[in-house]
Amino acid sequence: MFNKLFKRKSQPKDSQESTDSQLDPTKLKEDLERYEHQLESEGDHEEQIHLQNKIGEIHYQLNEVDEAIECWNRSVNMMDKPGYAHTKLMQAYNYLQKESWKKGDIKAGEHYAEMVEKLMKHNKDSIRYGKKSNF
Amino acid sequence: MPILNFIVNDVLGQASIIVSLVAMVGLIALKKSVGQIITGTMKTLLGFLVLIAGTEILVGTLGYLGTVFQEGFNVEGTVTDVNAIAGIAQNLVGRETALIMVIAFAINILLARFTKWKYIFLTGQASLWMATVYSLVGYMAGLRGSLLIISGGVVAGVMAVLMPALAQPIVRKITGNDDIALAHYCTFGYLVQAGVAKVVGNKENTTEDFKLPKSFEFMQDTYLSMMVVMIPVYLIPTFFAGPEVVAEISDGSNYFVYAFLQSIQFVAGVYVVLAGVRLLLAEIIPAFRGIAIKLVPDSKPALDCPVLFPYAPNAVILGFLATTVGTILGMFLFPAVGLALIIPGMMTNFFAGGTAGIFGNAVGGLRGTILGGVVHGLFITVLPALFVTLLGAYDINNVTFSDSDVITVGLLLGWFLELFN
Repeated sequence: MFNKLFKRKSQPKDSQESTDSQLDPTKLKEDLERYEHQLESEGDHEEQIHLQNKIGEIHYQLNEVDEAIECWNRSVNMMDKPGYAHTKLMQAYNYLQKESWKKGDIKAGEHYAEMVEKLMKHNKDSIRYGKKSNF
Repeated sequence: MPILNFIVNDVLGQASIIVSLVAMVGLIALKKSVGQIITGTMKTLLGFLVLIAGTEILVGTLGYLGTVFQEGFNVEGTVTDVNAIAGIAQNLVGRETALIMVIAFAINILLARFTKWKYIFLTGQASLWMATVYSLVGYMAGLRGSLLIISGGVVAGVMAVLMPALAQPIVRKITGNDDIALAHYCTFGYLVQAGVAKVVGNKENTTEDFKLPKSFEFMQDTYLSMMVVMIPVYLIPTFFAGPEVVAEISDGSNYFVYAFLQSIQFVAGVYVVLAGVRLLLAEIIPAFRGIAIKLVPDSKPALDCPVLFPYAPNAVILGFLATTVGTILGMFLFPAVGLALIIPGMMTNFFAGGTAGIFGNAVGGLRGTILGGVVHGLFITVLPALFVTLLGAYDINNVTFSDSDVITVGLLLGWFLELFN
């Protein structure tokens, strides 16, 4: 009965643990260039999201957190429901929040805390109301 | 002295003013500007009054529901909606609830500072519900003043650390790291679902491999699904109660139309209460957070359940649907064994059921999510069914709490205090 109710779809490409590069910055930058080049010519919607996520992950590993957030934001705004990019954004905002408080930058800490709240609301609304909304 | 009396009884005796003062102190502690302090304080006051306005809508419509259930079926039908009952409770124990929240927050910080459990509980609504159940049950059982407030604060503060700690082993499985924790007082229910899922499930077969049929999507809108449930809940007993019963209160309206509008009014009441709660907590929680992070730099934020939704969005929907099946089964099964008739609360079914689904999927895959979800639904129906007997003794009828951890504290406190009465 459940086979009729549920259709199998293709396996998700992104996983919580996946990174396809060693942590060698040179290798990472090569991968970054390769993925960015691929993204320019990629037409498939799912593949674009996947590449954005990969590029974001590499920026994050290179400690370029703002660039990573930009990539994952683009992914989030392309997705119908919450997924990998949302989890990475949450990770990044939590990290930036902690760092801001450590440095005593209250304004920045509050800003990233608000971004966490905003992201959680986005998670909730995109499942409840089943529509794409810009984050 | 009259001026002292005025301040202590007339000013500080108002729950709305106490809550606003809590926000004001928090904003001052964060060294906000005068403008921000005034704005934040007044918004908190406004939020509390919006919440009270929402409860007035709810009290009327719940009274109608109680009448038609009694006249139609000779039973009491009880709605599980934590927002509804907590809103109603603020009229009675609003002051105590606000002060319990403050002490709970202080206890949370102390525990995070001096123990290995670094969780800071940041879901304001959940903190409010926990403080409310303690203050309500404690007050009704005879506790008053500082004993009620301090004991409530200690219990609520311990729960703020204990529940995230209990959930964390599975949250770690879900997220793949230890960076965030869960602050949602339905943890006992999640552990029940995970336990069932572990036994019956297969975690290799994840919910995320399957595409859900579109026909289920409308249920994901919680207010819409609440209406889908509440309309028959109001119409069916009205049909059995008959037009004569309704004519006494409907002011000439057709009894079916009146019942229909009462059901929608219930949803409207919940909406207004929630709007008030959000406004009320909008200033308090950021203040809590800022103070907590200053005092406990290595703290771990415990966040509301939507933080887990992206890890398994299909599990959220399946968990919600399975939990709803369980609550509907419970609605019919439990009265047959002498327990109260509990009407499913769709808000809880979505958030608690959805999150429980993620727990079920993490340890038991698709089968764990579905079968565990049905058991979860039964679990979150039997707890309110037990709690209703306690509330009935306190003359609060037709509505009860819905969150498993909140009800557990209420039950244990109520049973404990009964030993001394």
